Amino acid sequence: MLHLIADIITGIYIFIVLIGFLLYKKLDAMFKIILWIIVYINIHENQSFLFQFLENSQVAAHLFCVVMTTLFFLVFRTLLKTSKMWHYLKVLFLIALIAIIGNSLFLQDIHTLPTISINIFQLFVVINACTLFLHLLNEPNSIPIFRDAVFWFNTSTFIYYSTSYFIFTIPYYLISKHINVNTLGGINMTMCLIYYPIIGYTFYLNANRLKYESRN
Amino acid sequence: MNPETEILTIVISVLVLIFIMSLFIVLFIIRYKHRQEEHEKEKAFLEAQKTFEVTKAQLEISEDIMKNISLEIHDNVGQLLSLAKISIQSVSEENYKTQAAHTTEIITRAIGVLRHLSKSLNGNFIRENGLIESLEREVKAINGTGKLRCEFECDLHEKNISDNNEVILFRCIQEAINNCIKHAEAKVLKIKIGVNKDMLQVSVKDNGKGIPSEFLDGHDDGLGMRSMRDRMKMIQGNFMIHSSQQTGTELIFQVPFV
Repeated sequence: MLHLIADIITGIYIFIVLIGFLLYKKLDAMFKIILWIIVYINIHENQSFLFQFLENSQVAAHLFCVVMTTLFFLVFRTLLKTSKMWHYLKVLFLIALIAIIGNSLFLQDIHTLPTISINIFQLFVVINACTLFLHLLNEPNSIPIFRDAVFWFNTSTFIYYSTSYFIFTIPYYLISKHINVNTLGGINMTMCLIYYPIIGYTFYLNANRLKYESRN
Repeated sequence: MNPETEILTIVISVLVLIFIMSLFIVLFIIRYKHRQEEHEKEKAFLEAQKTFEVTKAQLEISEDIMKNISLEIHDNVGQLLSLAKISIQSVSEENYKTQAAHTTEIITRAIGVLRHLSKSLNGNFIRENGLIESLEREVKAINGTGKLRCEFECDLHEKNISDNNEVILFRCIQEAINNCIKHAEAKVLKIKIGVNKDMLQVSVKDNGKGIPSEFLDGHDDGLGMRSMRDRMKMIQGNFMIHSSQQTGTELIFQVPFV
């Protein structure tokens, strides 16, 4: 069953990437970066063959944390650079990046799953999403909220990464107790099934928003 | 706790977490919609205020123009025509040739003043000839009076401002020149056009006695400072004053390029 859901998720990734590239010219810089994030996640999910010459593919997970933290920083940068909190977020990004690289160098080597780095990355995204909620309240725009691509992106990202943070942290504890974690894996996959189509929908909304703006 | 109960507890925790987050999102949506409405109201209010200020500034500009026409007619044309009348009244059989020549000269001067007045007040003249040519003409007229020496320097290439902004800017410069002639007791007036940070900048600088502080802080508006500030604001420009008794006064106007 989980294999079937995993295949569906891969299909959704490919579908969203196709939609993204079809609408690419109409997308804002922020959504172009999000599209590249999806492309990167897709490659990451199917990358094990690239690391066959190594002991295992965990090095990709280490790289994943660094790349994803940087890409999400760039996404939030486009939205929050006018915010009063932006200077703090820049410092937070540097701290997160140093912590992730430090973890790979000194704590969990490249043959181990970087659980600490994953947690740091997810926490970084959740903090940014919360800041963006605050920023949206301080500077609301005139687009109806349910047609606002930024709102959908931030809401889905906030829920997905908060839940992922919780779900990813628990299995390490459960595995240490030799308990089956398939149920949590199932929840995570269900979250993916909801999260990625919403991201695809944000591409559609953003492309139409630009069309609306140019019409005015 | 057995493993199954433990898993169930965790699943319930995750679901509770999702529920709490969903609640947070719902509260956010309600608050955001409220803020959006407030924001729209604020925007509409600012828009109305801006329209009001523009209308007010336009009325003030018209008032100023009327005042200028009235002063020019009274001080220049009126005086010349009175002189012409006296000249005609004193015509006799002996001096009619000299008096006719004298009266013709006075009337020619009056026509010249009226022509200059008409050109400088006509916005179309400024639109057709451009700011620089209109200013050159103005400078020539000031130098012609012999009251003070006016220098004009232009360091502007290619970039342009809109026709309407050009007229409004020209009126401000005229106001500044008039203030200098009437109040500054200056010997030299320098007008400089250039570019400053993507804006057209005009500096009107004299070596006169400076502006008293009550005119600078905006409490007293006898020099039309508020009017110049309002006009600049109307076209999204900037207006700055530097003045001292030792160095004279410099008025700076900055207008965005098209």
